[in-house]
Amino acid sequence: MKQLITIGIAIVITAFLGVTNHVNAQSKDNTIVNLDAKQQSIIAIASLTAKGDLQTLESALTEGLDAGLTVREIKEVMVHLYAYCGFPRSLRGLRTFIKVLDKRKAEGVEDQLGAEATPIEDNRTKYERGKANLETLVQAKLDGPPADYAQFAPIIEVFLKEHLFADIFDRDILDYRQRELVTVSVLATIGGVEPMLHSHMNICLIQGITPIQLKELMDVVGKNVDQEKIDSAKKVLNELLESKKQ
Amino acid sequence: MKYLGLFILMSMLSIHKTIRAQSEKNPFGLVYEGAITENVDGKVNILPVRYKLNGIDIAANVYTPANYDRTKKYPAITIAHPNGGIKEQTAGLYAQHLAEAGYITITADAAYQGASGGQPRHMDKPQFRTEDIRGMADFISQYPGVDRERLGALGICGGGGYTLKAVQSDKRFKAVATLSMFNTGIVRKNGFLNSQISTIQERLKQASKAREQEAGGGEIVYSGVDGITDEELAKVSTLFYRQGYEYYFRTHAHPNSTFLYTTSSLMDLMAWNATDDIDLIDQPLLMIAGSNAQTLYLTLDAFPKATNSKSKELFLIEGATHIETYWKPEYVNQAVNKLVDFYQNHLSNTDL
Repeated sequence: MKQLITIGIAIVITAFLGVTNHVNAQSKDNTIVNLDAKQQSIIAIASLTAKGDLQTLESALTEGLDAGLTVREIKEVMVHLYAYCGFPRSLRGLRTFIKVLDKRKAEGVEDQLGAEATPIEDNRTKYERGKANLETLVQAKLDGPPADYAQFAPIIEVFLKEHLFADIFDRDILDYRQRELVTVSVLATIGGVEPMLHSHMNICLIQGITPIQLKELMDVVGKNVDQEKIDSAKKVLNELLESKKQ
Repeated sequence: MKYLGLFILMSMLSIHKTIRAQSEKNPFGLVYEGAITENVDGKVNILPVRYKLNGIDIAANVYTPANYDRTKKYPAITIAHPNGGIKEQTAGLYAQHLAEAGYITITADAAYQGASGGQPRHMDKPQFRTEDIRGMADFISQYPGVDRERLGALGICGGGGYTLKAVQSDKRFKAVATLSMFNTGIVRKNGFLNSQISTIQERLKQASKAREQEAGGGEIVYSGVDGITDEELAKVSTLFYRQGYEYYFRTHAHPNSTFLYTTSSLMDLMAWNATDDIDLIDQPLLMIAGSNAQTLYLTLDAFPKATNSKSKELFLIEGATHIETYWKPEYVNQAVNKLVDFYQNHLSNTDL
């Protein structure tokens, strides 16, 4: 049932995205308009939180709220990214967000709290749910042999499926696309994780994020990270896009 | 070639062959369009290799992706060539395209055929053709940079039928694709489009007789053709065969490529069927064929029988004939894109 609801929501979101994409598809001068303001904010917030640049993060959070992100959506970005850069960065990001919200409250700004996550009503085991979510993400059956790391340390694969892809991904405050934008932003920011960056950029493409949107993501992240890291991330993206081209 | 299915007994006639300038032009002997002419750093490279398989010397080409780095891990794909074909023709074209998409690929001449060793020449027995595919897997699994857990198979035409057979029991292959699959066994038994059902026993007797002659030290008897004159070509009424002869003897000719096979091979071929035990295939399966291919019936027969494949897909290339899927860019591109999607989905190593 939960699966059905999720699918329903996904369809609604997709339809909605479809509409906004369509609306945004072309501007007056015929250039393609890609990432919208909310997406850009999600990327900037994720990247700055992962980097630990809390001062710049403050203004990114303000911009995100002004762009229409709800308080819960931004909180969810912070929650999601701990899986990729750790609790400490996540907690510092959340504290920074509290500060920003308090300041805005004092100024009389009313921020939208937004929807809470739909409760889970799914009888499958967490592992099964996580595997199914991951299969939806990569649009493929995961019946092959476990990856080398999973054979080496089986528990990490269990944690990935049960926790990251069930506990976290089942929270429908953010959709899969938004979550993957967060993930790619964090990975590009922390650097040195090219194989994962490659996989998640590929998931982005599978989930309907366009190559141009990914290039724009690089530009947003590029403002916050050093040249070497962003060059490396762009190289991964170029190799991925090259492999898709025939 | 008076009419299709005429059973020809011929000694190794050397029918006048077209000048084969194409293969001489390319330093690697490749005769497909857009073939690599030199190994450039940072681009797809080709490496001719030789290895032993059951005592027979196998000639193969390995293609490595751009910026190949032996310390990295790449998925790999074996490519089995068509009947009468060799690694320098369409199998090489697909091997090169898949290498461009990031795969390490290998395509080998069948034992007893092409540049591979083995006597008598042009023996074409299904068990050997199947073994050739396993031999490619043996070799490429040991190749620097190959991720053994991400091995895929592609078989074209007859090679497609043998690939279906190989992966039934060879679980090193994690994803299986065929292009214009040709189930040689049932075609040799029943004739193309079931045109020779009335002569099955007769042809088996001829094959047995040929074997008897070989056993007695006599001349090797051959079936098939080793070239065709323009007059004969004009008379070939079956499109599949006519386009095949044009491909193999004119546009993509190569001295090692021939339609000859030992008549005694029919003893094995006619009692063999690629779809026997096809329910053993539990790997993901993609079957690609041209919508206008006269051989489509062979793919349509096999596909539903693969009942245990984890995920299977039939992809028809609109308007393509069998032979056109070997070379025509618009069709080749469709096939390659489909293959790359398929292998990416099923041989991907998702690092999370």
